[in-house]
Amino acid sequence: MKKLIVLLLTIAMVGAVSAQVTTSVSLSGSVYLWNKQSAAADKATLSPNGAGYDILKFSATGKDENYGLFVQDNDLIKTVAFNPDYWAVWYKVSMVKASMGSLNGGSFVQYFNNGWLENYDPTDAMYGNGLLVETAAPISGFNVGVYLPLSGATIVNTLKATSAGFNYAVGEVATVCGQANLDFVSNATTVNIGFDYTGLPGLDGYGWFEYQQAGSAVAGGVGGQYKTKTWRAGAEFEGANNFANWDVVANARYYVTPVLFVQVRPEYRSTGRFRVRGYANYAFGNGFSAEAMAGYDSNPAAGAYTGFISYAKLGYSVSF
Amino acid sequence: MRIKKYFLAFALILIAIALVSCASNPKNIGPSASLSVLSQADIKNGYLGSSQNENPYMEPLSLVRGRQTEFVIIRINISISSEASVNFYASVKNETGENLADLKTKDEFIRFWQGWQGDPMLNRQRELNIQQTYIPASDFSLKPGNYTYYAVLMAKYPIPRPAKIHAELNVSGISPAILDIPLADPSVGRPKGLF
Repeated sequence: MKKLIVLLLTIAMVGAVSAQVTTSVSLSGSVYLWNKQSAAADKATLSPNGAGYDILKFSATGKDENYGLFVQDNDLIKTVAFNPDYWAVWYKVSMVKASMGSLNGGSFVQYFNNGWLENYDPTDAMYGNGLLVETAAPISGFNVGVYLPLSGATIVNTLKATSAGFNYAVGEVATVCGQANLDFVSNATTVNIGFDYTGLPGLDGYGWFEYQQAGSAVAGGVGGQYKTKTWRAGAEFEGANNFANWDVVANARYYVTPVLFVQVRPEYRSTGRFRVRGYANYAFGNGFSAEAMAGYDSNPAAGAYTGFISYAKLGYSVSF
Repeated sequence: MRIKKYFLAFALILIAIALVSCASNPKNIGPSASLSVLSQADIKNGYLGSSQNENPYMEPLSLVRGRQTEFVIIRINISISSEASVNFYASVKNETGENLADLKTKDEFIRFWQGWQGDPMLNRQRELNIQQTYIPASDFSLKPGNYTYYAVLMAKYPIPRPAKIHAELNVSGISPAILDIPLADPSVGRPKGLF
């Protein structure tokens, strides 16, 4: 672990003095000091914030942004070992950018921008070992990309699992995007479309809709937030299995000072679970923060506490 | 049939958003165009807040290497009562006319931050703020309304002084706004330590 940090810092320092390459090493995540949300999470000692939250990323980019690479390790602190989850080298030639490696998704899928809900994300198959070829810059507002997974047993199976996507800027007010994740091997192709509206100052509205060949099911979500300098208010809705399962959440935040906000977030799920949480978050500066949560959970997810819930955690998002 | 119903609902949401956007332009606006330079202190106390995870105009700081990049941030205010074309240009030059900083396009500024940090959720919030506040292009057109945009000139910290900021904003039908001021000392508006 120490060797790894020394290596990354050395690379960063070499990059810093090099005029040809820009490098960055960043680490983000959070650590619970107190966590009373579920029996599984009930720990009085320091613990990382669950799977996928501690992210170490190293990236290097050529001076003219024509080539680069990145390596990303999730759960660095949890596993205390460097096992890259994603990495890629990329190169631009004229209007085409090619990325090869273990990729971490394309940019043709619209997620929830605020991420308050996360049970039913749209499908993005541009993950894992593969080759992504996309436009290096928008052409008349359009970006397009094609992804070939390199894990297919045969060339035919690889082609049967191709993904392709696009995004398009609608003037300066919105983007629309779409992605088809072919899966002719398992007959589980998915197609999704999404939008993100940013045309009014302070307002962001977004949504996605997906058709899933397996089970002929549809899923989707919509959300938005309006913000001013001192307060924010927003909501998100998501549904899956032809909207038989759905979640809805609202969120309101008030900035007491520029570095301290309080927030309340009620949430209801179609399973009957009701949860309301209140937060206080203080930003120390330079990527460090402390957050406390207290709330009520009506239950019913496996392992979750019924009744009073709370946590205190330290967050970090720093660069070396 | 059921799919058609859901698709119709999705399309209605898109149409509603489009209608809202069409009804947003206030009337009786006096035409004006202005430019100003913002310090890091101005940025931290401004609309996008002081969280480095969300405010793209706060200069990135490295725990080991300290401040690596200097931002020169220009705020652009435009009020117009009829459709207008806009042209914007800015530079930072030394006394001999040498260019000391690059004016970033919106896409370039988004890519700069994508390379800086790994957490996709943090990048999404920061990118969204860039989408909503960065000047769209060097040449573009606007419908009637009040607009505030930001533009960033970027270079390795610290930019050698003395240097001069020059910016021009041309809005059709309005007198051009021109900014010619010396680049302030790097200590102005920046905290001394990492915090």
